[in-house]
Amino acid sequence: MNQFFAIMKESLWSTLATKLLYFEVVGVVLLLLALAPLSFKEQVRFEVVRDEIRQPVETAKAWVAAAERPGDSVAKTLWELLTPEHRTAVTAIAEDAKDTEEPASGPPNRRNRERREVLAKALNYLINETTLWDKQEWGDQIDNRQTKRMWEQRTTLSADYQKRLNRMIIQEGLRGQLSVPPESNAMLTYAWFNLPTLPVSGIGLAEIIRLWLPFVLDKLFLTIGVLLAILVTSTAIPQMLEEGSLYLLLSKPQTRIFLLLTKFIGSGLLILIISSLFLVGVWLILGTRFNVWMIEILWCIPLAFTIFLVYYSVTVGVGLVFRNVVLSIIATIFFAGACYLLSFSRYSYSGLVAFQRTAELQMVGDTLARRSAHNHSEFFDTTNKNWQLGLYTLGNDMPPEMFATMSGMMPSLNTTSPTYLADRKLYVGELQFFPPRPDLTKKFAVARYDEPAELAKPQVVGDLPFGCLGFWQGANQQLLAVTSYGAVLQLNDAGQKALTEASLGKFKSVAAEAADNSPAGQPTAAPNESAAGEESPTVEDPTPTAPTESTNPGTASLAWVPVGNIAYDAARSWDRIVATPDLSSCYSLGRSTISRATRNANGQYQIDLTVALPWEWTSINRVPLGLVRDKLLVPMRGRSLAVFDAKTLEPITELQMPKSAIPLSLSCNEELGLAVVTYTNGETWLFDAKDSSFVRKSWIRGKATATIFDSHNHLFVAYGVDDLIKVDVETGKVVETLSVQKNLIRSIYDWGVEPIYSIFPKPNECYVLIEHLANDGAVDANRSDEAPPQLDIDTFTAQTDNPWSPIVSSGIFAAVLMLFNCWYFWRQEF
Amino acid sequence: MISTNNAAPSGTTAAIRAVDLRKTYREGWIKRKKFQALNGVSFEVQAGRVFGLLGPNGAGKTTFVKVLMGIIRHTSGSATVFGLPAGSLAARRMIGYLPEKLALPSYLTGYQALEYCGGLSGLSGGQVRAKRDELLSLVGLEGWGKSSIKKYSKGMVQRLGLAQAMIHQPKLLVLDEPTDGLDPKARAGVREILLRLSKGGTTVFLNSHLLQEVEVLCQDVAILSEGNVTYCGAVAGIHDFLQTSRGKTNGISVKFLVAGPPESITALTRIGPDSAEWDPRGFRASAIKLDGEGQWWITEELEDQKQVDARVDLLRKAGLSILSLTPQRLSLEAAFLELVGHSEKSADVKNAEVRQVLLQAGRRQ
Repeated sequence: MNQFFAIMKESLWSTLATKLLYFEVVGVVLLLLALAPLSFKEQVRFEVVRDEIRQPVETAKAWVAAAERPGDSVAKTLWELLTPEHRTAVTAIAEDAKDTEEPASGPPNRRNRERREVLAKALNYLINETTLWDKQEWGDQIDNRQTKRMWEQRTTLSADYQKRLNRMIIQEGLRGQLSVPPESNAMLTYAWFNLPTLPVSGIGLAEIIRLWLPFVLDKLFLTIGVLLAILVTSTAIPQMLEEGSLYLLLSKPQTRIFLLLTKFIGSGLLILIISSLFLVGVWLILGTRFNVWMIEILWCIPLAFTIFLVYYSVTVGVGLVFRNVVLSIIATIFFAGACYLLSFSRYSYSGLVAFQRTAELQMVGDTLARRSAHNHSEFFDTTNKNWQLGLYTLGNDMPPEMFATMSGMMPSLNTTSPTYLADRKLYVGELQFFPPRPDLTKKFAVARYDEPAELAKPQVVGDLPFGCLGFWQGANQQLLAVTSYGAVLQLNDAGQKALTEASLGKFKSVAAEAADNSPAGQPTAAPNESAAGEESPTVEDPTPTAPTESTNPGTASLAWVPVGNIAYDAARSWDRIVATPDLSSCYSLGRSTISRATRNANGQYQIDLTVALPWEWTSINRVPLGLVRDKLLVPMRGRSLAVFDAKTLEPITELQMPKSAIPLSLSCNEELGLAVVTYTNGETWLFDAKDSSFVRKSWIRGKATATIFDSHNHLFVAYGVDDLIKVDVETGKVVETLSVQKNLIRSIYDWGVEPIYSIFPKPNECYVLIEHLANDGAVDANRSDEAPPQLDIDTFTAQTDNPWSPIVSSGIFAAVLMLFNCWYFWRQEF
Repeated sequence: MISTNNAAPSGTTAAIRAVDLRKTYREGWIKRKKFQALNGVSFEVQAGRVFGLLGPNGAGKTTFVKVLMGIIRHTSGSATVFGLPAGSLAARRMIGYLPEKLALPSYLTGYQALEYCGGLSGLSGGQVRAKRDELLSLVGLEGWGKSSIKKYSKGMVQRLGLAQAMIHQPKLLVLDEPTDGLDPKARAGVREILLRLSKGGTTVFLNSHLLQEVEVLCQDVAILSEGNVTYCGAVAGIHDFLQTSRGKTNGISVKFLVAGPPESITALTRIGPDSAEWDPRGFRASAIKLDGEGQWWITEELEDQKQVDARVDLLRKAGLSILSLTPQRLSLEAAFLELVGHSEKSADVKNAEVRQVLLQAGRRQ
């Protein structure tokens, strides 16, 4: 131990002798001292800002009208509290009909700006100068629960929050006229100095820090910081190898390997101490000042140490062989560059091939078809063993009427647009436009997939106002489509025709009527669901007020699902709906409920059962539902597969998995009573309805993306980029491997780049482990209402890479290299 | 040349024992070229003695020391330190080593250097701190402990090196050019330290070019030449060894300082002052040299004491006063040159080597 400490101390003195260390340490201390006084204060937002008034004339008119209306109202009370001057000014705005429109482009309307200023002044008077918040009548007049709750606690509020309450009351009174501001803005402070106020609240500021900190930690600290540390410690080995110094060291009673390893670890420990000082300081400052307690910062301490040792093993090796400080530094930098280059190459290539990955498999008769990540629909040519492109593609060839409608904007096929192949026809359910145009209705198009000319210009058959969520084809070739906002449509030729004739308003009215008539239209227990018909504060209802006439669109049938359930939750993903094979029923998964719509004798779908989920649900985009042998399968994000009785929607069981994962696809086979679920971590699991078992299967070594059962009860599994296997699920044997012929670049990548990448150290990618460790618990714990970002096939690659791989391969590399260094040092004769 | 027997008395462990030690260096791209640095070296260093290792450049001295310290591995043969394999951890614990071109990190202070080297030798910080002042004082560096080595002169660094070699009280001190860079006073101080250590039981193994230094310090010496030991034994025995190697036994070289008239000197020679003939009753003219007015040095190689007595009688009979009579023994330098010169090399090489040795000897003085 004495020898160990002697070498440690000498390493410390050695690095202290280099001025760089002083710069590092002093720099760290100064930075921490500079950051420490930084903080923020929440500034409660209560004042009305001019731009928060949407339509000033409308606002003034509404206000005046409310004031003149008999009876009590919030708006009326507000009016009465205004000064006569303010009232006059507002009335003048209400009566001024000139120049009220905002131009489509160019500078805003100057008159409107002035009107907004006048209104803002009047409103701010009410906020600042009156005790609006203390009026007793608010107890009866305020509808908004949050405002009411705040009013009930009004006497305990601070002055700023009382003004905030004033603002909320005004918001209530002039409902729909003002934008809702955030509760507070963050004002940065530095010691006792106030800095500018940020346009975000404290929570928003914390989110920005959380967003940027990984970049700072990964790219600045773990890369540049570590390389700087290499600079500081690079002289240790060459200095040790100077003749007069080396002979003295080698004459001492310790082995050469001990000597080398102690020098190696000693330098690392020094860096560990400095990085700990810095990171703990930053963690404390961010936590105490900004309430951002990110465990990732502390995880960076051992990670920085490990990454340093990886780079330093190269420095030591070159230093041992060449005994040259400059050369060892250059070699280390080149090595770091090579790691980045390899990662970048792989990432770039993966990005290119990602678009070719199979996103969805479908059977068209006995032909296997797929939709790729870049939305090419292709079918598998068994003779040539490759995917034949021939279906709907991204391109400029759109129907003329589309161009006319779009006013020169180019459409792009959204990757989540569902496409369906049925009876040689390709149905494209949704076309979105970029930039988005909410005023443009979504189109519903169809084309025969084996007619290239038709494919190039699919026939637009009608409007689909809410976008199409999914298709199912029943045994009788009937096509069932479900739209967002809950319209369930059975599409045959007449139905398609009906679609072209249907208008926006008609859908809503029919749906409303269906909802009113349904005895089970209300959920039995929905703790987190807002009341039916209530506007969600987060999504704007695109539908204007609808006419009340009902319509019978012939063979199309509708069922309207209440807002808060299938509506905007399912609007983000067509997976959250599943239908029975005979299309007699379909199920939808909401935020906290499951609903079933059943076709009645008249051919109309009606919601007949809705149950609340027995747990808080994580609103994620992709939840592929499954239905097999009267069991509804709901793969949960996290660690389980929930199984419900399809007849009663009673939960049967929740089958646990050992690791958290996000579900990717689900395929069912009614005859076999089996369902296959693939996950973003590359795992494939098999559910057997007979005994409700759920086991992991290892049919492939790669990562499965999609599955589908064919008519012979074999399972096609798409994996990798575009490879396939056919599995006999009952026996578990792979019946056929359908590897797609690869071009030269793909072959070079598969046989060259990828194997090198898998074993090459990746110190530059080690940060993914921290993200994994930080988020893993979140996946398990997070069953509350939180919408993670949209999951698409491109992020699938990153999701399925083992987060431990970079650090393990880097660690192995460093260990092997240090073994060589030790052997070299031991063998060398000086 | 054959090395003399200096085996340790039975029952004692030699401090250093080398038996047929060989070291072959392989050089070149594919290590085909061989260079034999040690060619079957065998000798012993007895415990408690001061031993000097001499030899011209390229003789193998440094190689031997490196093998002893475990810095390089020998090709064949064996070397032990107090019975332990040379270069082993146990052996190294017993050795204090001062390398030739000592380079202590210049950013360290004297105290830090001692703490570092002491720690490497297995001492704790406290143990080092307890003796560092005494050590620095011993080597003449008192008051310099807190100064950076950057400020030390070459001699001071050397002395610090000696201090670090002694810090863990080793049984064997291996010193490579210990007085290199030291002024005469400092050199004398080092000599004193080494002698004191030797008296205390520490074995001192010196590798030095300073023949006079070795002659004064060392009790035993080994002379290496081209990887072979040409002599190994007591310093005092080198003269007899050379005599023996010349075929002479028990010869005595005597130097007379006489005073008297030149005629008396001339009379001593049978034919005349330039005669080179040997006359048992006379003296060779070549052995007679004038030293000042009326004084003469006469050097004679005589066989035994009887002849010495006869010579004294002869000189007195010739009317000369005998001012002094000094037995002459061969100096180490002379013996070294002779021994090194007897090795199988061309005359030119021999002369060049001799010149180099003399040059270096002159430089160090």
